[in-house]
Amino acid sequence: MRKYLVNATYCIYLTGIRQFYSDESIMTIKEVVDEIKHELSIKPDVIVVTKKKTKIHGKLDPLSSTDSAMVQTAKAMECVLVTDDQKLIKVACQNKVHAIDTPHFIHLLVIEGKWPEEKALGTLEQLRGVYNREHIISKVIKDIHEWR
Amino acid sequence: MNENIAVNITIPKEAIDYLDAEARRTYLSRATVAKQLLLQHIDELRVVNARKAGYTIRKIVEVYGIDYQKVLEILHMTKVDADEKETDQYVEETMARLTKK
Repeated sequence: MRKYLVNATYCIYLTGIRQFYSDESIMTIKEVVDEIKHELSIKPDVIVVTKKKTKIHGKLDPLSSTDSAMVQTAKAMECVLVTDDQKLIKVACQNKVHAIDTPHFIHLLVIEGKWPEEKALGTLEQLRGVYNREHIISKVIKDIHEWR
Repeated sequence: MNENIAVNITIPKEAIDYLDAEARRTYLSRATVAKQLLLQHIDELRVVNARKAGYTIRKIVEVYGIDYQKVLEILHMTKVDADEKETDQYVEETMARLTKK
């Protein structure tokens, strides 16, 4: 089973539009859960894994210790990192950690048969109103229409 | 503890008219409205400049003490993250690997 390590952006964006999704393949680290508790006053219903330490490289100064822990844990556990922070995706890329953003993850939920297309498209339209990269929403909606 | 310092500034009448209209609409004082707008703009500048310098969202939260959700709001409003072709390509490559039949 493929595993996904989700960052705070995933939890905040999807909780904000009341579409938070979790299953046995989706996990995060305690620091992210604490951030969500602080930001939203709720505990996200997601599996919590112990953060792992492994060597990562790249320009790490602009990262916080939790960012670094996310990349290290994803690398050590061979998880796909789900984050909407492009700066974090860049470090994931430098360390050969698979990384996708929330809209692409929603597309994966459709491909894996976990979400119907209509739900994914509706969620993406809701997300458009708050998302940091609106053009990605349009692109993923187009991908979902064309993927079959 | 944050230290507050009083400042006197001269600004155009049109800006004062705007502040007064906002103050009437929100039942706040002119000074409070002006302060809120100034602080909001400073947060926006901090976020945009930090993003251009390569800071992650979480690092911005840590360094400037701005709420995580507020940083996301500023990123949405300013669209500073729009042009990230290198990471877009990596996400596409990841999707291709994950969906390979």
